[in-house]
Amino acid sequence: MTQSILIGAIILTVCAFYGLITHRHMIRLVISLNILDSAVLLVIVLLGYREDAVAPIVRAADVEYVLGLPHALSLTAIVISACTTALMLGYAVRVYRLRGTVYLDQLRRWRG
Amino acid sequence: MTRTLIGLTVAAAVGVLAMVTLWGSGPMPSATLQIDYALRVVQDTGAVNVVTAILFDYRGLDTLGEATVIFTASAVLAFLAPRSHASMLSVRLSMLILYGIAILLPFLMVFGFSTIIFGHVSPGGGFTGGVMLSSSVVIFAIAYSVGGQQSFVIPVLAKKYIENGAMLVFVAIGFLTLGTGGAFLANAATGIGLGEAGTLLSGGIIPYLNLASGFKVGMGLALIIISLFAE
Repeated sequence: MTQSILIGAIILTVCAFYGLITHRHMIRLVISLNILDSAVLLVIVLLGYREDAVAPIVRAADVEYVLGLPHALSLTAIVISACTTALMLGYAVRVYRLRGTVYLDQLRRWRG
Repeated sequence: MTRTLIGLTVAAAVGVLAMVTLWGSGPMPSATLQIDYALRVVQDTGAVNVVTAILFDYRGLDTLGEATVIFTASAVLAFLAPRSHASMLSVRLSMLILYGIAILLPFLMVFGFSTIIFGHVSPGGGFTGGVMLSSSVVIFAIAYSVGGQQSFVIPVLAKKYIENGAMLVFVAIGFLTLGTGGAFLANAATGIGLGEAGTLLSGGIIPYLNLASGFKVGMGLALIIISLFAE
């Protein structure tokens, strides 16, 4: 269970880095960063996983709960990834308005 | 072609590195960690939901920083993408969607508010409920803006005031706890009554912080999304 989710997170990381390096379209770069975010979130939530434990809402004393701290930190990570995504998209819209393209290659050619 | 090759190489290297790191670092912390918040959260904070207690009590300052991130993002986006002409909003939707949304919207808002208010006794909290609130606001703005004519549940200026006001309330609660002799955003150390765990008025300052951050996140995310598609 834990192993297979870790392998899934590693596959997501590899896909994200491949996309970040091969693509030059700004929206696709944003999508790659989002995939990287989800890989990180998988690992963070997995850090608090316990076999046969329940969600950390305290009901009785003799129940085993999963750790709550990784959940709280993953909430922070989700908020920050949503904000950076929104900022990058807004920047892409702005660049498209000013330059007429979102391909980084063509933007570089226009610099001189 | 060379870029594909470089991409494959780097991705494979990252994969191998991640595998070595994750399998070389021993067992998961959940198996070995001794400090478990679930064991002491009720007598420490009076809240039942461990995640909410960590967010708004043990790491309240961290949550304030998190709210600041949303605040900054919405401010920068309002600067980057000024709302001029909403070409995306001029699409006419079918009657089925309009009536469906009209039926769905009250339930969405009630669900969001109940997730915020009961955040410390059941799954949920300010951030989750705030996202639900912002989704209901955004759905209304998409569905009922016909022909470039924008109509919002809450006007944009009111959203900004609500967001800033909720931020101020959050900081004000922090300074109030500072005034009673505790640390910034301290809960039980200020001598506030924690109440009976599991009831609505328990957890000291946690429900109020939940409300403030719920409004803050809801209006902030709605501002972000609306200023993105109002380009």
